[in-house]
Amino acid sequence: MKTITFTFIACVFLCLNSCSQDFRKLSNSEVDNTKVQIANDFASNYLNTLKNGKTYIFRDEAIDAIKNQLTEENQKLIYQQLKSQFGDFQSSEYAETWIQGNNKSIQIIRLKATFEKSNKNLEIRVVLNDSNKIAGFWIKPWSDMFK
Amino acid sequence: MKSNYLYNPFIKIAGFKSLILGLIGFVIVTYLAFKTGTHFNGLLNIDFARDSAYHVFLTENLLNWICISFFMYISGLIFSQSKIRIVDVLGTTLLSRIPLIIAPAIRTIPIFQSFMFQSWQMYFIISFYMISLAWTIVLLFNAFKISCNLKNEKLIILFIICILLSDICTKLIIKLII
Repeated sequence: MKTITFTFIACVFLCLNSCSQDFRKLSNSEVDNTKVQIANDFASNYLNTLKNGKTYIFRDEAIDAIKNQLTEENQKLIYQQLKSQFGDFQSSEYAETWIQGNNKSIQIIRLKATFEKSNKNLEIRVVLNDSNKIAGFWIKPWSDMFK
Repeated sequence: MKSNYLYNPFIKIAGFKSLILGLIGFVIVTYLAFKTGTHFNGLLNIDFARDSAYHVFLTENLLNWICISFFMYISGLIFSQSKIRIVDVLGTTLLSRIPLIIAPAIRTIPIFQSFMFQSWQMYFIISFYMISLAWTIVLLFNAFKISCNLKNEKLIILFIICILLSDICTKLIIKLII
């Protein structure tokens, strides 16, 4: 029994030492509400536009890589896949913000979104760069483990 | 002698008593799972996501309990020569799931509510979950042995089949209805 306990504790410490935590979650007092507002507005405008059967027209709110990737065809394809699996987009609300190390210039904002047919919330992840432009945008199942 | 009760409390507790105690444990585990977003989405699975309403967590826990009880009861009816009481199977399997409270209890601590994949928090919770799962499996084995009065190879083989079948069924049903 002593050997098992010792081996278990040793394994736990090995695991604890082997992992490095590059990202950290911002506390509520550290969160920039302007960035949260930008991310939430973009996500809901984008998804509501597609929900109404239109194409989202990018202006200067996103970097070129995002604009090039989210073409008219891609927008429709992605929303159709979402709709067939989870139903229409309903709403989104802010959940948390993560940064890499101490670099606050790039912020990863996680929103929880509800969809018509889904019992579970999805994650809308918006990455904002230092000039508050959208530099990343994903929709995936919500997890409390940040990947 | 006292430590025996940790992995085989069914020598003393069975029938309605185990069902009542199990139900109390079930309510606490489900409530904590909901509050902390700890999904038991399969007999042997765990997932961390505060992403759904209370009924999702309740359904997952109910299915885990009902599926394993169903397969154990059916195995007992077919392979045991004793008279099997459904209340014994339901009560002892429900009581066996109480150790699973450990992971959601840890997740009530703020630093374990939202964390990075492959972080020390993840390994910490998973380690304690593995211990609680092993404890639950041992309790389920003893529950099956006592409530269905099975012995030797028959007991071991049927127990493994019950665990595998109920894990598969629970996952399938959860995928279909949630």
